[in-house]
Amino acid sequence: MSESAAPARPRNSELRRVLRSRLFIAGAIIMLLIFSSAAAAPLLTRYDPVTLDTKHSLLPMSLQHPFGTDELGRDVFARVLYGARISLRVGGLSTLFTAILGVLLGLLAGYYKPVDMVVSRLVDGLMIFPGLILGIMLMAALGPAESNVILAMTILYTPRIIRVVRGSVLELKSMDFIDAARVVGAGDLRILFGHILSNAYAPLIVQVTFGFAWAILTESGMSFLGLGTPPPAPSWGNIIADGRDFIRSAPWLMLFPGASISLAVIGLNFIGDGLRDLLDPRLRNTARRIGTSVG
Amino acid sequence: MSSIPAERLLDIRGLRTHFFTDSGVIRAVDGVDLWVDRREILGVVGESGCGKTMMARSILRIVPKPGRVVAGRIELEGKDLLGLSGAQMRRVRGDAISMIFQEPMVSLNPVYRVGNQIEEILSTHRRALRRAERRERVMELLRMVDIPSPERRVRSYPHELSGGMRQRVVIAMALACGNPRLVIADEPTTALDVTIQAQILDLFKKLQQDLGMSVIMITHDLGVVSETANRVAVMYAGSVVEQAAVRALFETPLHPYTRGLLRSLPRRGRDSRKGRLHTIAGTVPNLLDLPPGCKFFDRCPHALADVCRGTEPALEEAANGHWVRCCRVREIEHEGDPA
Repeated sequence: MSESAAPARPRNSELRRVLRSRLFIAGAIIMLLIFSSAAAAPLLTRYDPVTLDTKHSLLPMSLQHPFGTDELGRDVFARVLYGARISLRVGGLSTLFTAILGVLLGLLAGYYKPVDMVVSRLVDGLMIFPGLILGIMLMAALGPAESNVILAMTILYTPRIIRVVRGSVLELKSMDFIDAARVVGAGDLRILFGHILSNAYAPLIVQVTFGFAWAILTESGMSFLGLGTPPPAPSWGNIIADGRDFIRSAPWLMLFPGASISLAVIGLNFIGDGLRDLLDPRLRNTARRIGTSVG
Repeated sequence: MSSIPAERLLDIRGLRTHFFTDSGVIRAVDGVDLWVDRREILGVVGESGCGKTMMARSILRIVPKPGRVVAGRIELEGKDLLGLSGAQMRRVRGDAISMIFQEPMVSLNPVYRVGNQIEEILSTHRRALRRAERRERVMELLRMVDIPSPERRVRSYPHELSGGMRQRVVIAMALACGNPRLVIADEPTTALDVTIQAQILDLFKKLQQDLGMSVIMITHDLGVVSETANRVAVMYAGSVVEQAAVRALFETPLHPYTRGLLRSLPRRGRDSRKGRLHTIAGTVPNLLDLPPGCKFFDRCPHALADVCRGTEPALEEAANGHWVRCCRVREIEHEGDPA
């Protein structure tokens, strides 16, 4: 039994595995940067994102205003930093609600036929609309407010999570280890939230991460169209919308918020891809396998 | 229930489990009478599709849809399992009765460490145990099933273990609660290679004796049965056609199907020189459309249309402890089979 040494500290090797995943680390660094600069916005700039200063409108990039100023003289750097707060908050909260709702409904739909009848028809009904169109419809009906944006995004993205989770459940519930769990006395709840969910994590977390990226992008898109977070709040989409009249004369108005959106989306996608590899226990480092056993 | 002798653990009478499909009713289990005494290993043999597994699943009430138990009684220690509520049944599963599946590859949750997987059963059935006590019990179980260096294996994922190791873990899970009265093993060694198979069977027998539990060993391997079981039940097309002590069954098989089965085994000596194995003519009847009367009628060398076609014979005691489901058992008992 002594062919290969067992790892002395398995926790360390787990950590090393995470650190070796370049994609995940790159994504994590990007997101950490965005999150921390959003959190530290008041320390990074002395300008207020909404205070008007028409005397200094449309200034180009300078030390005073690293990203320049907009039509109404607001510092774009400050607006992008504070905008990150809004974009991350809207994206994060809608992703959180999406995940909770999607997991719950997806699990139930995959496991109980009658629930599936109702939930899947609803999901089909929502998915026939192109995302943005449905978003516009919802915002028009709900009226402009940040909470309504979060609600609309949750309605938009939940069907996708439901589908992913439901698919996993359908695949998993006929597996022998589910029967084996039932045979040793596990009830429906334990089977659903223990055995099935634990095996559906990988696709779920990946989908949720991509959902976060999608939410940031869609929120910006809707704000750009004037249906997202209502101005003057500086969501990234709003800043771009404000700058579109000056794309030739003052391109920095759109460049920096646009770059921020891209960066956040790239970061989250990296994390999602990295997690996809990291979360599959079957892909775990083979060196960790304890020597082959007899019998 | 005073009608049940004291040593009887499980008593199945007239069990029928049918599947209601679009193309008709499949009578997967169709009149099983079977019993298991305490501290006994009952072998259940029969070819694929004869209802062995569905019979086992019926006992634990985990028949997959669209199947369900439509008739019969399954009494464990005098209590009818079919009459229990869902919650009561859950308390029986994994505690009084456990089941071991054929494929150790897929009967463990791939994302749980094996230790946690065993521990989970304890937290279901032995709520009073504290975490440390549960851990202790898990190690004890791994040692009991002869897993080397259990302190390391307890943290392994199922894919890190070999097939034999995995089956040992599965056995440990079946015994986790410490007081199993019946373990149903559904082809526990079929997926393993021969040497490991022998080790697992030995372990099984040892544990069965140590813990004083009863075992239903489902297999299509007569060799496994002759080595491990005390009694054997032979199943054919959803019902038990013969049930007897191992020796009696192998030495004086009474049902024509059992005779055919035993004659199909390769033997050293006279049969091997002939170079061909005996086969039972014909195929298993379609479970969607079973003929009236004896289910073995079409393939039976002793069948007589006016005797066997009518009503299905009952499982009757032909000799002491030797039960057969055949109309002509008295007449053919001392007759050889036509070639």
